[in-house]
Amino acid sequence: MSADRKSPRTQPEPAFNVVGDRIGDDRENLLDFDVDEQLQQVAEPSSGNVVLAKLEDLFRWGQLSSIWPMTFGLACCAIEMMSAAGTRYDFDRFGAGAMRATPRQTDLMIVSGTVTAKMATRLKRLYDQMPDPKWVIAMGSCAIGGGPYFKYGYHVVKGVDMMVPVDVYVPGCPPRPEVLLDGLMRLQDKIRGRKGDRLVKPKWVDDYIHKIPE
Amino acid sequence: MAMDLQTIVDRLHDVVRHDAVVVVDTESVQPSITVRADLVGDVARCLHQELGFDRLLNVSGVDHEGYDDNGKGKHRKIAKYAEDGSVEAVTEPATGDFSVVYHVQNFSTRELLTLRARVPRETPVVQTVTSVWSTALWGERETYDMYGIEFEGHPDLRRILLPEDWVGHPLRKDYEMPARYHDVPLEGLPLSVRQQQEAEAEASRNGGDAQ
Repeated sequence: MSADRKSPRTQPEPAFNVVGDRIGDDRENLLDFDVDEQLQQVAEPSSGNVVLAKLEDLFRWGQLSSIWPMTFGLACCAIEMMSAAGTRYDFDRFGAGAMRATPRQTDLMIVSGTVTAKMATRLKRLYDQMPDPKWVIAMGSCAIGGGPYFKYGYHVVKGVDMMVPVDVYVPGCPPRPEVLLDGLMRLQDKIRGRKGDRLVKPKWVDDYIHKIPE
Repeated sequence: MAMDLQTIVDRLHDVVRHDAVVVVDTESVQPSITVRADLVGDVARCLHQELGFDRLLNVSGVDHEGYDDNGKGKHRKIAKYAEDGSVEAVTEPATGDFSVVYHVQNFSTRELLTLRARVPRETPVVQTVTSVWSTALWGERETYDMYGIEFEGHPDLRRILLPEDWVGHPLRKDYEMPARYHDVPLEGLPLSVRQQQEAEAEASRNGGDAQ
């Protein structure tokens, strides 16, 4: 702007908005406030600036808002999963856009496709390599119960829930990306509502409780 | 069609052997010739070198169990299952023959030919055609995987799709579905239900001990 401009604190330049009204106030006055008084106003519970929550809920919110799925496609359902992760349906709107190529950085496995007997051992190994807490979505008829191979498929595991615990079942053959998004939101509901049910009580707790004198 | 089917048959009779072709089928949608199983290699060489069939589309198999000699009828049920889907006792042992089917093409005239060879169920052995068409390397492995038909002279005859230690050949009519493969259950209850049942069983065992 102008080169001969003085310090704004002593000679504030008037500012105008697009319709010509003068905006802003004297900046000396703007900076003249009592810090303690401001803080009291900010911290007043009725002001809406303060949210009281349980720490557990905060953790759950953090978990459900940042789900990292594993890049793991088994069959044609994986095409729909890619579509759901792409621009049109965009998993990332729900915080699940970081598809990782290694199980060690993920907390969601979307079993998208037919689980064959040959693949099932690999699937179990990948699930075991994921760090806790971890969730599984069974996507499509094959992963839910064998799909078209439910009786005469000699090579198909009739339901991936025989191998790993499944949290959300997403039906369809294959499911449309909207259904997978809905399944993701149901999983988020589940994470939001869980009350430490996956926390395993250590065995020594029971042993210790018996030794407490009444 | 550039070449009559009878011309091919005559040529095969001249070059390979006078009784090389067993059946000539011109009634079907796709005309086929059936040759003797022990002459498949020579027939393939003649087809490739003399008649210009230089492309092998696929190698597949047929289990004729449950079909009559004309290829009609399908009376045999899938093993172990009744028509209403319930599990029943194993039916009588299968006795039908196998067929190996080759689809070959003359790539310059685009002429297609279906070549069949029928082998008995007890000794399903056919000569390999891998030295004529390299495509047969995998096609014959798949046919071996699915039907158990052995190809004499194949350089690397082992399973191609199923695991090496799989039991049985799944596309045979008398194949029985496995319930599990090593520690992978193929059908049964979900893991959570099984774990719950095990926990309950253990609890009842512990309770019994305390009493």
